[in-house]
Amino acid sequence: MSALGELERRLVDGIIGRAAALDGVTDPVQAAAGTGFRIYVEAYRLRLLEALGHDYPKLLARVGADEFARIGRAYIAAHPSRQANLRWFGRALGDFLGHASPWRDDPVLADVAHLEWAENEAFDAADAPVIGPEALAALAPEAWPGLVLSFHPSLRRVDAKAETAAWSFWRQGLDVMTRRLDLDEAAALDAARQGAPFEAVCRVLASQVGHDAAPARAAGLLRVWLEAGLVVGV
Amino acid sequence: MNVFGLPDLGFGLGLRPQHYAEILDGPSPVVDWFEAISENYMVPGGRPLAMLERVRERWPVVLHGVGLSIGGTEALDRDYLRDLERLIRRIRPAWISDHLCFTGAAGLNTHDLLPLPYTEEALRHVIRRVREVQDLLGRRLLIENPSSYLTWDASSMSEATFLAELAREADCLLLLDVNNVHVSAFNHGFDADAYIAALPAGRIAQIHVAGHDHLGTHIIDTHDQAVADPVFALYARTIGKIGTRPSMIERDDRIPPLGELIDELDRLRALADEAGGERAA
Repeated sequence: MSALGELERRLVDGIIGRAAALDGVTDPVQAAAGTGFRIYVEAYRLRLLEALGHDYPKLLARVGADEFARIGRAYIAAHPSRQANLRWFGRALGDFLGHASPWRDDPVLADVAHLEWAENEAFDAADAPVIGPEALAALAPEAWPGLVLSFHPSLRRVDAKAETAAWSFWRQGLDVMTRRLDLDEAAALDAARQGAPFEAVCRVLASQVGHDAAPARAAGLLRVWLEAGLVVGV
Repeated sequence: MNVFGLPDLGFGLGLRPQHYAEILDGPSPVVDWFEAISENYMVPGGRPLAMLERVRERWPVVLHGVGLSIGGTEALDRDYLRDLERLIRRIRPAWISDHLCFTGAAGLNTHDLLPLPYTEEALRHVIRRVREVQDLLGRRLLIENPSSYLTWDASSMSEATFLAELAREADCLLLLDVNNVHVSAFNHGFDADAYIAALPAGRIAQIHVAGHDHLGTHIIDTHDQAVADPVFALYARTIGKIGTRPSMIERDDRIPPLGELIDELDRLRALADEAGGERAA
């Protein structure tokens, strides 16, 4: 490794906690020995913790600042950032809370984090013009079974495990919307998002609400999705 | 026109989400241009980009990055550069800038602006990288002097000498942060005016002015409070010597109402008027 690369690696190792001190450096002239290094170490943790607080305000409010800081420090140690934009640093917090002790014992925490991250993703996902219910008016009856929907890039689905609830997040214009879904709607939406044609979505619904009720339920859901601005193309 | 054909934008502010409504929906603030943090808008879509585009419809915008890691020794981050290029196409900034620093090593990112050792090796390395980025983006970069809390014993030249050599050899421009000069001068015991005098004045294309936290034995560059008087004074002496440059107040934390920042900006305007008068006289 180059001398430059070696010096850089040593400072980064120190900052992320792999080394307790740093030699070969001079501190601010009036400050105590080690001050400069400690400023970078402290600033690193504060910056990442602040980013997590920004991304997870509901989790922060739920557990309080002290516990949130404990969670944050553990997450920062387990998932040091590996990309250039701080925007994506907190991405894995929900999964982390789902398996890291002691937080995995309270599955609500992972749920809250997963929901907040989905909301964050919906917030600045790509833009796309949506279509409304009128887009289906011209559709020939024989085209319905093969109808495939394209959804807005901001649409996110999360299944909360602690209370067995299905949620969706998406953006209407610039505003993030959220809705708790009935379980049959969640199953139909998941199928449609994976590209299932309308008749296959109807079959998914039939397994939930019965064959007789499925077509009307499917048509109703389709209208809800179109009116909510979830659909960008058919 | 300013240096190297860049527009002479006047007096600007860092664009912060807390001020979107006041900037866009209130009476038009007396701000000549805005500087946006590039990474905050290097996202696929939604409100951040929509707000920035609305600002851009009415004001010139420059992009200021914190994630390029021009001094890093890993390969330049192609994904980052692709996202930056996309943002440049969308916003058409008057110019773009980032810092003389590295942000990580061995695949890890500290999201901090870490100080480089000012060695011949580092200089060659950064010159190569600046050229590479400039070629890729088809425009000159403005490189900002960092504030720092330690210096490397391996350094063989001053930071100002390093920046001066970099600017000349990479044919890039400089973003002079007078607060960073003040902070580092106090911390490391060098003369702030001599530092600025050692930079090639003709390549200084923009000036940052910001607040800091003075802890007695050292100063931390927090950008979370009003600009200190010694920093205004250094700004005044600087433009008295090199002439006016597009200048702005950079506030990143404990964001006050827009009016408070415009008051600070007006102080820069007044200092520039005085300096202009003295230079003309």
